[in-house]
Amino acid sequence: MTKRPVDDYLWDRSGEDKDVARLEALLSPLQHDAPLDELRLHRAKSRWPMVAGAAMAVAAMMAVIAWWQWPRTTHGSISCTAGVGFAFTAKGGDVACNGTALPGGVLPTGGTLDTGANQAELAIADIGHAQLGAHTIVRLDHTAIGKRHQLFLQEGRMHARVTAPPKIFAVATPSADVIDLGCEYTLEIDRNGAGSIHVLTGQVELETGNGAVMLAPAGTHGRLLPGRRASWPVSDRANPAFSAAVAQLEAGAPDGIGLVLAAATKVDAITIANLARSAPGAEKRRVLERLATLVAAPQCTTIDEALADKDLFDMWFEEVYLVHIGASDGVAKSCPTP
Amino acid sequence: MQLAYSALVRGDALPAVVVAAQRGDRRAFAELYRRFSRAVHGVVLARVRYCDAADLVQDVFAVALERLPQLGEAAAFPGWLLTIARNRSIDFVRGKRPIAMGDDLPELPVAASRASEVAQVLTALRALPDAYQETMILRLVEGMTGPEIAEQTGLSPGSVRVNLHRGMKLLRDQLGISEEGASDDKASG
Repeated sequence: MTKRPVDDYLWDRSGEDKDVARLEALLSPLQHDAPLDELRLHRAKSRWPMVAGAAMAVAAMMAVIAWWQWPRTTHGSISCTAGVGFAFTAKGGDVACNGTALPGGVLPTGGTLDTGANQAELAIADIGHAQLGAHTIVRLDHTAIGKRHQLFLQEGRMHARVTAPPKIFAVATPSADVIDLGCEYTLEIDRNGAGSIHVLTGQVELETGNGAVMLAPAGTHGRLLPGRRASWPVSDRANPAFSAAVAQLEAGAPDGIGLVLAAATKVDAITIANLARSAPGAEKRRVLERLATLVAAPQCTTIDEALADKDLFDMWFEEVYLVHIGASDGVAKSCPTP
Repeated sequence: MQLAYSALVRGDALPAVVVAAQRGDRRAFAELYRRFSRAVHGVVLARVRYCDAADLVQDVFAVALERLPQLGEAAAFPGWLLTIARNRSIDFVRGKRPIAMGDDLPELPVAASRASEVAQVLTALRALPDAYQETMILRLVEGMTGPEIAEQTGLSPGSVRVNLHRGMKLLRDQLGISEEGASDDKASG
């Protein structure tokens, strides 16, 4: 790729913004440059071995308790009262962890939490929290230091808020995998495995069975379809006609892509850009031609160039994202005639 | 072994530095301070007076050193550290009256002719909604770029970008700056 991304001084000091540069210069004397206070650190450090020792003693005690209680749990499963896992607290009454009614505890790897008529708060390791609604069933599939934490949401409602580097936390569902890129979102799944997602901050990746990966930023929502069929994120500002067209595409209507392209307006560019990502080769050009009428490709990139160079397509997708968040108008500057 | 590690610590990946610090490597902890003290200062400055911020940064790192063995996920260090910074600064201001614009003036390390304007901008930054306040202070006061803010706060680049653009728009409104100063390049094609 030879073209550089969109200039944005506020983001990475590329390009120019005199107001931002002036404020930076004005405030820069306040920037922190004091060295580490070794004396204060020494006072804290002197208590360090004691704290570490106490923590190890507590961990050892919890391990003993977990081992002692393990044979007593129902269904022959692992205890939900101690050990490694996600801590949970029931709200409104006990919830069932591995079949045992508890006011709180630790959901172990492989363990299932069923809120029944109550609700629960689940700590996602030390990177976030999830609120589980009534009649929600989740299973902890994986948690390990330095690796991905993964829950399986079988059914119900989960509101998750995560502060962690991208792709540390994922939620699998019967219809799609939701990979956290650092954000807050609400997921709902019904008994048939159908559901929805609403992204409130940040962004998530949605991965369906056919390998399609959609990027859903804040201010979008989408259906999750049984059978892990592909679905597309739609802007919260989309009009009903566009939403209906997307529903027809997802339902497999004849020329569903044509219906969506015809109904799209500028606020729907984020859906069209995701459609371009997932469209088969023959359809991709048609989708990009429509996208170009909604959000111009940056730096005079042509459709042929975007089709041939993934980096150029990604740069265009980035421009669509900027338009979605209101940081760009997506209008083309004058380009030389080919 | 320890010496060999310490020699490499400056360029090493964050989880390795965190794990080394958890094992008691002092140079590794100093490296964490070098990488994150500006981010902590920005988070603290969103809530306390300028003259109290530097001292509170040291306090945050002293607490972090104490609690570091309890951190289970090395990659979660940025979010974990900034949570400590937020909690310590909230504790610090608890029971105190809200910061007024003049409170920062006596201690600001700027020329007298500029102090009033600096205090005004600082007050406007603190008045931004929570979601934008810290990100904007990290960008404009601590001089971090968007990608650096994302790396040091654990937020996704997309979230940081949204916070910056929306926060800057609100800041312009508060300070009465028109959009004209911004370059047309932002949406260039």
